[in-house]
Amino acid sequence: MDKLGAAANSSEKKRMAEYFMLSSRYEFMFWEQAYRLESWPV
Amino acid sequence: MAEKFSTQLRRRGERIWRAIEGHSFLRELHAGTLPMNRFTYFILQDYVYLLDFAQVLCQGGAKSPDLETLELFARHALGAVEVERSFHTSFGKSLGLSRQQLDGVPKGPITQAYISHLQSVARSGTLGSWSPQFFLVTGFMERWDVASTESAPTSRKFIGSGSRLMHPNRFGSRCGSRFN
Repeated sequence: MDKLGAAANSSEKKRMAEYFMLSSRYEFMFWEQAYRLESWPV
Repeated sequence: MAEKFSTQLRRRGERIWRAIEGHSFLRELHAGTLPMNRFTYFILQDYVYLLDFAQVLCQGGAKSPDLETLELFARHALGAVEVERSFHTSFGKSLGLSRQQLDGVPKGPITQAYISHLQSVARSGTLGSWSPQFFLVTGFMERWDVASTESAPTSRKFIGSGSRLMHPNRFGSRCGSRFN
């Protein structure tokens, strides 16, 4: 990954970091969803 | 020397990872107090998630600039497929669900959102722009390892002799090791 990171320009790196953080949050919510037995509200 | 990109990302995501490691689901799973219906919900959502995730990995393979990257994506895609297969034989049976029933499990709201996010990034972005989340997610694919630890009485009835074992404390470091 550092190979790809080194090749990326700064706007690409910014986007990489945004995707990364968003995926991390979804991952948390995946566990949360199961804990809460979440269903669609409508 | 500038900080490595993977180190920067790891630092930024640390708070979220800690929150996952300390989540009530995992704590109760390992304490053996997690209610069975929550565990079952998790398994079924993980199952439907993996079906789509394997396909996203294949898109990564198609965008790979070199043999090593292609191999990495192909291996993880195959890994996801193999987990799916073992679901059919172990969990499906334990839960009394046929393969058709497993495949027909409706995605929960977060499963749907998470998968849509991965698919849209895989479709639109360059490999470079979405590789960090790939490394993250393959790290988290180990969530199955976390859930199937033998120390968890809730899940014990599901565990086959060959299952991969892992302690939750090692969760973060395991993810990190995929990272560089």
